[in-house]
Amino acid sequence: MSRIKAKIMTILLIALALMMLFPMILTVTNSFMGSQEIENNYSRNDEELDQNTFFSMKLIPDSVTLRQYYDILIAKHKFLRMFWNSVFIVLPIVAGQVVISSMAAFVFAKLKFKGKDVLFFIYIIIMMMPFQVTLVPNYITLDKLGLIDKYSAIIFPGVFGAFGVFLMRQFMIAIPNECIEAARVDGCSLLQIFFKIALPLSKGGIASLAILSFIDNWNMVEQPLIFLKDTNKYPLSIYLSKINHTELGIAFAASIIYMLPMLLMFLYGENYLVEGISRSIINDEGVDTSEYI
Amino acid sequence: MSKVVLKNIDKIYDNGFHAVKNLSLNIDSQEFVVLVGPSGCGKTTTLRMIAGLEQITKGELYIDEKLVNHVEAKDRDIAMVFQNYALYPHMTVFDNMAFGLKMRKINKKEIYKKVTEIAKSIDMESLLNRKPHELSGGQRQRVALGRAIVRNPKIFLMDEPLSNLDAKLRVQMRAEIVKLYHRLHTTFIYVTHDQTEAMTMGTKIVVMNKGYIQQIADPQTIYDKPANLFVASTIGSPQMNFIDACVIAEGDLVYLKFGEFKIKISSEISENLLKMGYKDREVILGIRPENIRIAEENNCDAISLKLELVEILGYENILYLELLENNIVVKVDTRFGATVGSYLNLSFDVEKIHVFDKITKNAII
Repeated sequence: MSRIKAKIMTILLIALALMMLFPMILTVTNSFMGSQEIENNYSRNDEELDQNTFFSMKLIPDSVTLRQYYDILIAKHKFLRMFWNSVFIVLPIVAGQVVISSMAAFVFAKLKFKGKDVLFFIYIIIMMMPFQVTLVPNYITLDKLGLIDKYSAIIFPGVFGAFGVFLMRQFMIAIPNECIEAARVDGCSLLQIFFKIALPLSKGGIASLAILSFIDNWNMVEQPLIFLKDTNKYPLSIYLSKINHTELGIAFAASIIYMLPMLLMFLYGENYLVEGISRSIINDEGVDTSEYI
Repeated sequence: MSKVVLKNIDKIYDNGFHAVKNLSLNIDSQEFVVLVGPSGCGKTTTLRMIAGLEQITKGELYIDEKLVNHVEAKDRDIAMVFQNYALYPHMTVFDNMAFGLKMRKINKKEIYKKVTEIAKSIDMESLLNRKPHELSGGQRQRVALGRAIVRNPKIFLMDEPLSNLDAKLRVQMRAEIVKLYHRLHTTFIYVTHDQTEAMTMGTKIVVMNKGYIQQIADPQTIYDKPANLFVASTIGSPQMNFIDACVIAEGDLVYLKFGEFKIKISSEISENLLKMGYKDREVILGIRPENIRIAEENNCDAISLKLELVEILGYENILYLELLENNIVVKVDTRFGATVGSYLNLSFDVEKIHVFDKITKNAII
């Protein structure tokens, strides 16, 4: 009986997994189709739309071609430019966030000062606020600073994001206070403790923050749309969201190239990512285990 | 080679907990001072204040006659061994030991020489490239000790360094630390809750309770002349027997009476008791298990008690006898044989009797 149960369970899980994987498989196989084939499969006139007719989804291409990849990587400069736009926006955010967050997190996790709890509470509140809530004040601030239509309009708010501080704090709280105290007795200044003890012991946190931050910022849509006016500065995430039927032929290959960096990041730091997500859950560990330095 | 002086030190934590109360203590150069007491008695807080890891709320702390209340831990030239070793997990044994030297900008050649030399002396030479997680508890403790020794500090501070080790290793490491003390001949301040460690290691013992110092003395004095009931009960295993008694005088003789029993006390003790006005007053009689003997049957001063339990330790037997709804513990030779439930005659060594005031709990004699 239990064997049958296990078999049913396995079949069910395989079916669910296939369902989850289907969009991915579809994207990969369709990226090797020719433009014409894609047009035939996915384009239809408005009448058909009214009748609610479904697309004809095909998994196996009639003829395998790399034409889509050629188009986006070589023929169309726009795609590559936007790819690099994304890189120029995301990398500084990730690097800045790692530096700023780990420093702030160390202070929150291991130092004791007046108003620390209130300040951290404010951080948590900010973290929980959706982007749309702070949109208007952010826009006004950036406008006053003369940063609208510049990459820094996206980079600065990204660098000082609250989530990174919160995540790194969870990692730094786990560093034994005795280690920090031993370093103090051994002759370290606060800065030396941070660089020589806290930072190397938070490697996992840094890696998971870098990955989570990369994925989050690589997918950003609202910020560039609002803060950038020059469409030439738009990142790839916007390009993909704006692909219409005239460019349908390259949509799948573009999606593959778009998700490639994230996929590589994920494969590289899968363990860190899981740890990062689990640490970002508020638990008892996060409640006042800080020590005075 | 350093002197540590604590003058009227108080420590009150942010949550209002008064951990150390008006503590004054002189620690001479090359002394091995052991702070002993139960959890929460303030011994670790005192050590941490000496280390500079805890701020002093009130009072003065001097190291080598220099006021160090506001001197950073790194500038006090001390080394500390922590209860859970506090090794840096991301560094090898070599780097752990060399870290303090690197921070003091000592050149690489000398660091290498010092670390290998100390590693050899603590038998860790072959494990220098290992990370802490690849070491056993005993090895980690050795590295922690090595890390402290290599710096050649003025004062060694140790916060219950053996409590995470198993019993066998604890005894071994205890001896190693004492040997180390004799070899280095520097000031050691050691915190423990284990009275055996305190007695076997220290040249001076500081017994603490509830933030107050109860007694400061060498191990033998602490054992022979405990200042109060707390010290008497803390030091010694099994602990001292305490019996509520009344001081009575019959003619020239003074007795301590409890229940239907009374024991004659020495003339010196009785003189003191009478002089201090304890006649007909309630006191607490204290006697260590080894100072009670099984008496001859015809001994008229002996008291007869029922044997409740015998613990055989191999090298001695511990007897538990019923006395006024309590137990009285007696240490006897292994050759002694008696069946549980039988009555035994006991005689107290009158010279070794302790008498404590019932109210203040301080030793009267």
